[in-house]
Amino acid sequence: MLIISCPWCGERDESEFSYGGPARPLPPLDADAAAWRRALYTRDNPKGWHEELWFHGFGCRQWIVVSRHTVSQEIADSRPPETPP
Amino acid sequence: MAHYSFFHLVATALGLGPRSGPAFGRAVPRARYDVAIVGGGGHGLATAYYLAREHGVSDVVVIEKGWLGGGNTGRNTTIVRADYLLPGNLEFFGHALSMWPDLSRELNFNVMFSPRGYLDLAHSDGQLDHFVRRANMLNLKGIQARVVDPQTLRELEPALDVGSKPPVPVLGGLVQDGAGTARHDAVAWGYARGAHGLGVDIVQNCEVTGLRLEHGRIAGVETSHGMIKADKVVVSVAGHSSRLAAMAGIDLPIETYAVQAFVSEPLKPVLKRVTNMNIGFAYASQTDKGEIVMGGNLEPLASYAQRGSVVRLGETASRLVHIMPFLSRVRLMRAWGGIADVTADGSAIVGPTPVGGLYLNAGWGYSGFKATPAAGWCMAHTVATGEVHPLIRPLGLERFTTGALLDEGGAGPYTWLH
Amino acid sequence: MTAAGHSRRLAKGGMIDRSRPLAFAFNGRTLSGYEGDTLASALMANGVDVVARSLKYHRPRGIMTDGPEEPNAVVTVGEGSSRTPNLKATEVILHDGLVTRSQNCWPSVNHDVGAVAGLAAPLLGAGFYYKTFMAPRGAWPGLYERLIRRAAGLGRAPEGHDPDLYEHRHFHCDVLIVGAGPAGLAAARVLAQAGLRLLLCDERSRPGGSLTGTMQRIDGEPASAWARQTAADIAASPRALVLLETCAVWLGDHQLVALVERRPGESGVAERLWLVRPRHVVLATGAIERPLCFPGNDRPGIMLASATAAYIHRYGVAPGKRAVIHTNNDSGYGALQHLRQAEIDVRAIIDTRPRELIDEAALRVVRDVDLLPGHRIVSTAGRHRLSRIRVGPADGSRQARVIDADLLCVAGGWSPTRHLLGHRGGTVRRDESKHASSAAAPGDDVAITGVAAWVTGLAACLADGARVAGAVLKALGRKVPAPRMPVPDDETGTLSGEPNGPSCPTLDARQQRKAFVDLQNDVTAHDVMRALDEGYGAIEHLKRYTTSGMGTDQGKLGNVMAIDMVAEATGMPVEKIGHTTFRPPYTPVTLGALVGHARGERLFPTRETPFHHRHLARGALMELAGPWHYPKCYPRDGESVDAAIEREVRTVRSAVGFVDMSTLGKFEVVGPDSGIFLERAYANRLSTLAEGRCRYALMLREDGVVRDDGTVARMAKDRWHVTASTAHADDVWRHLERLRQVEWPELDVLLVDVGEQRAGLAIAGPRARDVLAAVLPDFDVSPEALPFLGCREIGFDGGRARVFRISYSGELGFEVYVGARHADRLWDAVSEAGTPFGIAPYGVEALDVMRIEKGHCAGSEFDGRTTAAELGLGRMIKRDVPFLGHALACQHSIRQRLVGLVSADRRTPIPRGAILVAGMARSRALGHVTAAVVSPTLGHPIALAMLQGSVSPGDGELRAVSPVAGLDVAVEIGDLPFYDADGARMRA
Repeated sequence: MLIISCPWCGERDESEFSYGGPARPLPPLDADAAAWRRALYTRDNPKGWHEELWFHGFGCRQWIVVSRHTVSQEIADSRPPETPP
Repeated sequence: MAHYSFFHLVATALGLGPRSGPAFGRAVPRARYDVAIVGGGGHGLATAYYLAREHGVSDVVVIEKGWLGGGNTGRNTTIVRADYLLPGNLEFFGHALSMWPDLSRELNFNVMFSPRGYLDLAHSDGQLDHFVRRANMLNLKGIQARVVDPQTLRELEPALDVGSKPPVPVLGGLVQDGAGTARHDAVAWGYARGAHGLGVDIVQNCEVTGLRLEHGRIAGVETSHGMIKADKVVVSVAGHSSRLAAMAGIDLPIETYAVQAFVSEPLKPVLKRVTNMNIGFAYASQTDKGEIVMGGNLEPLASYAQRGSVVRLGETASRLVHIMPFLSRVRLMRAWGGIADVTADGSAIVGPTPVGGLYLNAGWGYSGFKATPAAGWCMAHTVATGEVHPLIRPLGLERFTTGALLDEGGAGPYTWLH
Repeated sequence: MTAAGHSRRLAKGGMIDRSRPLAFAFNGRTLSGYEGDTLASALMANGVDVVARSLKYHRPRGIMTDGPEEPNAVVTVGEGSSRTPNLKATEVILHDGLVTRSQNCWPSVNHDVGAVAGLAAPLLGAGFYYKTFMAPRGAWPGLYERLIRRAAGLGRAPEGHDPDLYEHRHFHCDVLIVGAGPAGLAAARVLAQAGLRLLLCDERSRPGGSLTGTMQRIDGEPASAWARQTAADIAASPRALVLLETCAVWLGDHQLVALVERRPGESGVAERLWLVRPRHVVLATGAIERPLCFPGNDRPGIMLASATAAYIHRYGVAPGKRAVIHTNNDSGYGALQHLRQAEIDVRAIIDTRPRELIDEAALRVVRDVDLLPGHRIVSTAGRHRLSRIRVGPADGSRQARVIDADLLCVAGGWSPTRHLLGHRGGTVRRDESKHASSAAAPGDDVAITGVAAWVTGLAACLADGARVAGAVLKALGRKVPAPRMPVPDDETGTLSGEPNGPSCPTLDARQQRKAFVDLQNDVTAHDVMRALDEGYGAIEHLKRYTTSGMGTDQGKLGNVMAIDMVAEATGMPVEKIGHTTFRPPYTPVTLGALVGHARGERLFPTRETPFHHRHLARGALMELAGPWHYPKCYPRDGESVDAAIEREVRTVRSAVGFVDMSTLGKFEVVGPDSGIFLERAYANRLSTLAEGRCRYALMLREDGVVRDDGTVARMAKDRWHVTASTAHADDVWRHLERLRQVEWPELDVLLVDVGEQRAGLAIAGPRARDVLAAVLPDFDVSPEALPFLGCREIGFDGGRARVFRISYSGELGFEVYVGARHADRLWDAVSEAGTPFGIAPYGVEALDVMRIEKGHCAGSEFDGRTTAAELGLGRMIKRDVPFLGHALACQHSIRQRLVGLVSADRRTPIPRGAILVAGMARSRALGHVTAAVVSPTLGHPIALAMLQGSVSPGDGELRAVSPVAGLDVAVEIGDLPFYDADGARMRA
């Protein structure tokens, strides 16, 4: 279990959060089916640093973006979604 | 290569007759082959074996980064079952199950397939209805399964606490009598020995660093031992499929997750069947050595780290103790993790890719071990004949474009929920 | 006093309390020991030689160690539901009334029939089962496997429910120090003085580690007394915690360290799992002595040299009378002084090294003992205990000679205990440099000190502990003090570095078969050689093929010998061979401790609605739906469940009923852009909804499949009340928040989850309006004031209530939501007001029957694979405004459709979970039944089903078949909804 630093609440146990997959914007709502398929059915799946979403459900109920290393599990950064890394 | 038998054992014990000799060679790869298989796990080795045996294609090399069977083949919980619901998966896994009983004799290597039965417990009326539906589908396809009531469960597995105790009652279960377990390492070794005996080169400690493409077709693989040319390349590298496919410019609908398993200290026989419970997800079986092998959900965050956490292990254990109270005093001996590649519909991807000559066998999540013989069989057919084997047609990569998805769990494109 | 039968107890010494004798049973014999004994030391004191039998060959085995590395002395403790199999006698703390038993032997541990397996040993070598038992088909599971399973396994599983209690404790601290030996104590002493929040743990019941097994002195007092005093000083500092009998078992990601505390002292708690998040970890875990591989190295009486000293000093037990020391390094000579102190006759020292490699200091302590340098053991003898050793020069230059001995102290060098580092994926090499202070992974802070870091000598270990403490203080930005260092008086007997001789000499084939590499699993040198010969040379292959290192001692002793053998046989350097991964836990952990309190009713948290006690008061039959306790139905006296469900349905259909709706997800959506937000999030048109109106709404996943359904109500221009299904409430909430926060942050909208705050009841039936009018006398409930799909907010019980005129049952219906604290008042008001009309509460089963009659979709239709079009909800989808899921929803081909079924004879129930087939084409599934009931309203069986699009009349009669239930029912497709097709009743 990880310690995730919530930009609003500070360091909290992973059990307070739920994982939300890679942090990448969805296509515009009026994008065509091909664009949506690309978005849903291709994944970077990096072995290394991964930008991902977490929901602090048992805390501030905010979605945050976390930079985590998928091998070492090190977390380098976490921030509100609208903030650039 | 020595033929294994009781007489062989006696002869070696008495110092008579030939020694067993190396089960699989330690080849230095040649510069070119007809077929290169990346990944020396069960699937890759089975593919090589059936290519050589069924199709006479023995100019084959299997390239393994570490040691044979060191990935998920050697880390899974060895369960062999065929209790799928959706057409496509149903037929494939049904065929896969049917290949296990004869495997040991075919390979002349005892993979210890043990059809001790598989038991899936239902804890609500809804689950029970769903099990009935699943068992009905299996029956209609000629795959054995039955649904039993709590009283029968008590008779089948006396160590289970089958009652209505809150919060999770046991209302019944799905039983597949011909399912069970096999010895995972032996599957890799048996296929390796078989393939080696048919002339396949097996190279360990050789890492693939790139895929060579020429005119949009595969031309070979670049490795830590140099370039190996091949007209056809099969990628069979559970956990690392995305990285290999990316070398050929292919993006996959796959993400990698850690799955944890653990064993207890050995006990005298107490649990016959592979037993699964469905509040959350947790299962247990007892090995021939007497250890209880246990596992649960994947760790729901993308990970290439082959380990799990003590907290999640405790959650899985709590579910198992609820159903198997004797486990409470039994001690955890060893825990480990594997990495599973999970697709955006939770079913595997097997078959050709958009790159000519490049074949992919990936995305098995935690279903790969039981599929080993059939995946190798179908892939060998596909590679050798150029025709996609009918059993893996529904499992093609193109389904993520056509929309003919195979979402057993109904979890949608969220890989971490499968 | 001296207890009777303590044939090997020394007259004095040991850290046992001789005034407190304890009675215990071993294999039915009552024996006695003292407070402070382990089971192993008590057995040894009583002269018990054979404690267990080995796994495969049933060879007699004794006690080899004094710790978790024990491979041999594995026993069962307790009886019945308190039975614990496979405990190492070396880790069982003796207490009065302890009942213990040998395992894996019959009829007794001294006379074990299973030992005949030893005769077949040549056949049972490494991997024998891979090579045989293959024919005929089915013989493996039918015969051979059964035999093997019966023979394998160590102890018997406990029976029934575990009477013990376990608990978890979470702990945060600055520093966790694992190991209270010299280095750990030295570090903890400094850190405690500096006022850090500190946890010091040690697996033993006394602090001191190796100090409890020596004759050394520190600051003029016995080292063990110094350790005791130092630990007490540390424990006395306000922010430090010292836990004994507490083993660190797992180093996890982000430095989550799991400790298991045995006998924490609180009544009833058997074990406590500590989940510790330290900022720094200091591993002062010491080292484990290595054994040596030689023929007959498994007999009772053969022990690690360090364990010999431990039994003498910790427990006052003489492990033998006539001893021989067998070593390949200088530390083995340290055993001499201990044996002499216990007046054990030392017959010889067998050193595998030539004299010139032996340190002068070591040679000085030999004195009159027969030193045999460059020698090795050729064989050992003794049926139930070592009696003779045959020893000869390594080069075979002279005849072997026989030495009478009942104790062989084996000193094969030391392996630093670094298992915890391996848990985090750090590669562990055997020869990491001194002062290893390495991170297990980036971001972690794990330091190693003392012998675990290859620091040797007591003074050096004490200094190293203080040095590491200084580094931790520095990292935390604290001042580093210059503490007075404790001074040991004597360095004799401390470890002196790496072994400088091999642990596995070259053996011939016959010798190999008797030289054990893994003692518990009976893996011999011969097995290792054979595995190498057959190509299983990768160290992981070797482990798996031979099972070496896979016993309950987790290879703590055996792995080293296996690696040395591979090195010896292949000429590869030990570093290149590598090491099998150290898997957690460090030592076996009771599953109950990992489970903690999450058992029985506390398996997972469950939820109750605000009406919970009202349900119980009305005699509800409660069941768990997801986490919710929810009424299945409310059977009256003598009424069956089926009858109750039928009555509840009839009551609603003919009069009025009410049902708890509080489990639904309930969200408040507020703000100027709330309409746009909902328009994007839902598949049907919502922004045109007038104030005071509500609508059934459908939400899709990104891939166009239905995610959930619910009601969206517009309470005011910028304020909406949104519900989600019980099962998906949390998902929908997360999803909506994600859309708001991540995808569309530009929208000015706020979401509030009011699921916990609001209680809701639905009132349904022809008399529902009458009831509502009585509950809310000031409120105009007329169809004109509150039309179908209208909603209002009004006062109730001093708070606010929201009333929605919606219907799930298909009858005239209202849903009333109030603040949770008004729930009882609402329930009572509805119940009272409805009494004249015959009102009754109804449960989930009646709800389900009525929704099937109305053809409403629920969880079994929304299975994560179905689209709106397939469920007959396609007309709800808006075409002109893009929404989430729009692009792919339009792409799906319709593969199946929702239909209603009735049995052809209108009598036979349609089986649940049935598959639809046509005529005789049984293997072609045309669909499946999702829900089936006998409708009390219609008086015949009905069902909902998903039918594949392409069924034509020519396919033959449609049948619902359930082979597992042996049922086969002719069905016809009926019109949906089955009941009140034009909806007149709910619009009334």
